[in-house]
Amino acid sequence: MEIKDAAQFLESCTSHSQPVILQGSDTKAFLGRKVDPNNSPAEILSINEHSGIIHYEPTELVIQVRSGSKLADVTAVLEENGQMFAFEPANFNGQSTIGGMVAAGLSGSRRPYAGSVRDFVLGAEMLSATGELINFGGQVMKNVAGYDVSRLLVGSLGCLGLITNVSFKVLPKPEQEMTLRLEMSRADALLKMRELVNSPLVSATAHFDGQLMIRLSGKVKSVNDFSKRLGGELIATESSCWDAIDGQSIFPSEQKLWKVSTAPMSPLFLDEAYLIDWGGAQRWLLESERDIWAEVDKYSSATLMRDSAGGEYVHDGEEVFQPLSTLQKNLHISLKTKFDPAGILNAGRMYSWL
Amino acid sequence: MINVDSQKAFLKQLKVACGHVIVDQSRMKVYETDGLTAKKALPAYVALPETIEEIQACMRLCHAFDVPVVARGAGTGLSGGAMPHEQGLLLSLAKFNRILEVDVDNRLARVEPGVTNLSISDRVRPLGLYYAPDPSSQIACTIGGNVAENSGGVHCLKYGLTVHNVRHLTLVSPQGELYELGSHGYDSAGFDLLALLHGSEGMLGIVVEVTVALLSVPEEVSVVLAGFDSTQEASEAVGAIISGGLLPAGLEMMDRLAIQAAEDFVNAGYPRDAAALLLCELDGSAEEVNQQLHQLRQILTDGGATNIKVAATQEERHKLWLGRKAAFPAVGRLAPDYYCMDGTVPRKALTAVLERISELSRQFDLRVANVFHAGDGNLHPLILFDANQPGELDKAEAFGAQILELCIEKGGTITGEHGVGIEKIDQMCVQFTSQELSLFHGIKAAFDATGILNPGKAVPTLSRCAEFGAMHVHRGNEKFPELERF
Ligand SMILES: Cc1cc2nc3c(=O)[nH]c(=O)nc-3n(C[C@H](O)[C@H](O)[C@H](O)COP(=O)(O)OP(=O)(O)OC[C@H]3O[C@@H](n4cnc5c(N)ncnc54)[C@H](O)[C@@H]3O)c2cc1C
Repeated sequence: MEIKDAAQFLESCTSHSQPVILQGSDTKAFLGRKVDPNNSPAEILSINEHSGIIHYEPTELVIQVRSGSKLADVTAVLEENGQMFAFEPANFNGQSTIGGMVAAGLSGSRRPYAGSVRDFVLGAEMLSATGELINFGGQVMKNVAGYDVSRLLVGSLGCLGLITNVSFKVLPKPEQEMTLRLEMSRADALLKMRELVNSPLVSATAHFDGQLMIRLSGKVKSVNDFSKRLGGELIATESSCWDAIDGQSIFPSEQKLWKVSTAPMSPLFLDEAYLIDWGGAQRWLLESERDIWAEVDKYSSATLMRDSAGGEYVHDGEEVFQPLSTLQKNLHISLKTKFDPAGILNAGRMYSWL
Repeated sequence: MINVDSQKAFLKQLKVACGHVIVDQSRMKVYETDGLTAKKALPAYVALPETIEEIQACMRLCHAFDVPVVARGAGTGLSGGAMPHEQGLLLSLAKFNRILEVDVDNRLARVEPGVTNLSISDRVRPLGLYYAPDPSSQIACTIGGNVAENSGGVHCLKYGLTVHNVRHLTLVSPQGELYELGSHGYDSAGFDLLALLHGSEGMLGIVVEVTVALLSVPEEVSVVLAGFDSTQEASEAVGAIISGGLLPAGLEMMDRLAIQAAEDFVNAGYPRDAAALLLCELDGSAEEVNQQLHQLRQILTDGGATNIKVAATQEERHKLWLGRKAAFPAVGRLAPDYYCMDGTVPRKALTAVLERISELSRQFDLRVANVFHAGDGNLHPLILFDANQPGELDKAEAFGAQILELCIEKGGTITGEHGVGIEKIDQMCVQFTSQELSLFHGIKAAFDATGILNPGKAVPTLSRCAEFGAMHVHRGNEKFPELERF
């Protein structure tokens, strides 16, 4: 669908209160709730055909991409120029789109060391629920004119508007990367992660199965020297373990999968976690029985990343994201109303009440 | 709130709500302006609360009486964001100046909003830590103000702006309710309201507590100074450094007028005869810094640098930065007044924009000194003038407005880090369409339905734009015919 057709479509949906599902390749069906309009069935608006790189200047470290573009295609172009998305987005089923990547806001293993999706978003264009094409931010590194809508869109799960294109800051790819494996208890691993938290050469850490994985990135000589100091065993295929974590394929699927975001040295679920990564700040739990939200303190949050069944949307009724305080909830509802007055966009995808 | 009776009732209750209230005009003088001294107003009341409960009580009261509230940190803002409202309450956060907790394990500091930026780093440096965003005003500006403006600094090129370094906020809503955003981890649930609050210029809520991320002081730091015979060569070197794959901690540029002013002021050892200089800081492991230094020297030499100086010791580094950090006051000595602009452009446009600024400088017959965050493309032209000369302020403002529109034309923005405030409100009409502005008003209304927080700032009303727009061609059209008006 052309943008102008999509605009007309949305405008008409808003005026008829026709619910709409916004989606890219639907590779993140596991994340969030099933869109559940309570009156009429939802129409699907796919952004897939709206693809291509609009503007890429490697010397400026900026790329502007249409949101239907495949992440894999964009990454390939960046790679040809020795650059990358530093937030290391996972490419689910190899089909993820840029729009989906931004709307889901999931960052990968490099997150604690380089930053998140929203940290690298410079600007975004979107179609509002009423069919207006609007633009926020831009292609420059610093911009405080107006409220930061482009960062607000990151992780908004299509509840605020149809993201049509996004500008990102990109970074040079490191000259060399290698992953080391060290046998270590969870407690020792946490201390090691703390020690390495600001080490300029460390770009990922995770602990599971009694082993601490550390990825080093940087100039060849520095990486080699540092790896000797760290010791441990070199893992031959560097990327696979990090891809498996970020793509969640590393987790067995019989139980519900929870992701808990917390302070890196927090004791929260430390021992129970199947895997911890992000320098200790992210804990992955396989747990079907306990009320995880009730155990989470106010500085942390838990997300149900996968239902026990494994694949599709979490079933009706249940929430997926950490419950919000009443005041935050009201803010979400008011904001949603301003962006999407008829409430047609991805209703219920994030919270049952949104 | 119009009638005298309700004003009296309000004041009476305000004095109950907050222990420290000022109504005496002579004592209010210090609040009449922020760093944008051309814009002045006296508030109706000033409150200096000492507890969060007092802030909440003030807000509840202002909400009930529909009294505008302007929050104020240190008042160093450069866009009039903290300029008082004549019928309103100026809410000073000055007494909230305590660092509440330093969590070394998690590298976090929980602080009150009135804490100065520099004092956080001062406190944690003995632990080998620091807070990265370092506005040049860091000795005075507050962390609450930094959040409200999403402030940057010399080290933001590598370490990001305030938004990248704040994890959690506690806020008081316009109705006086307390709430929290963010977490101590890297993610939190729901929309990214934490990001939205950054740069919101005191329009959405009162920040009453901030948790910032701390970083380890790097193992090795090196600062390189390079002089050039033209601003063009210096600008091109900036592009070459970034595209060469180097990621400097800071990359700053100064032009001749700024260099000379800084030299006269602090004697930093800058090359007086250079047309422009770059200051480039590299940090990391000793090994990485050495390798980068080697590459940097090569790029600078190839780029025509006439003078390269590497500061290795702490003292030498300090001296080189001293000139840059003192550049604003140094330039301030050259004329009775200066007007600081803050547009940002893509790096590749730097040469063209600097050239055009010097053309405009001749046209307006006002001198300009440039000292800015070159690595980010964030310009700070300082327009020199004398407000006592009739018409000079207007001329300086007209000149500034043209620079901002030039930035938009080059694909940039009217403000990189100083905010819109009252100063750039008309240029917002140039940068955004009415639909975009309407959405901004929607966001404002979601947080502050009755509009009591900092009214009239940051986002222009559509009718204001309609008036202003009469002389404007909107974004999308390449030409700006009004540029030749003067
Ligand atoms: C010499 C000089 C150099 C500067 N250099 C830089 C620089 O390098 N980088 C940069 O980014 N800026 C710079 N600035 C601008 C200024 O210092 C920053 O914008 C700073 O963040 C303002 O902090 P403040 O405490 O003075 O805020 P104020 O000026 O008091 O307020 C600024 C805005 O924040 C709001 N506000 C303040 N506190 C709160 C709160 N607790 N809750 C909600 N809203 C609040 C106010 O209402 C106002 O809108 C410079 C200024 C000067 C004078």
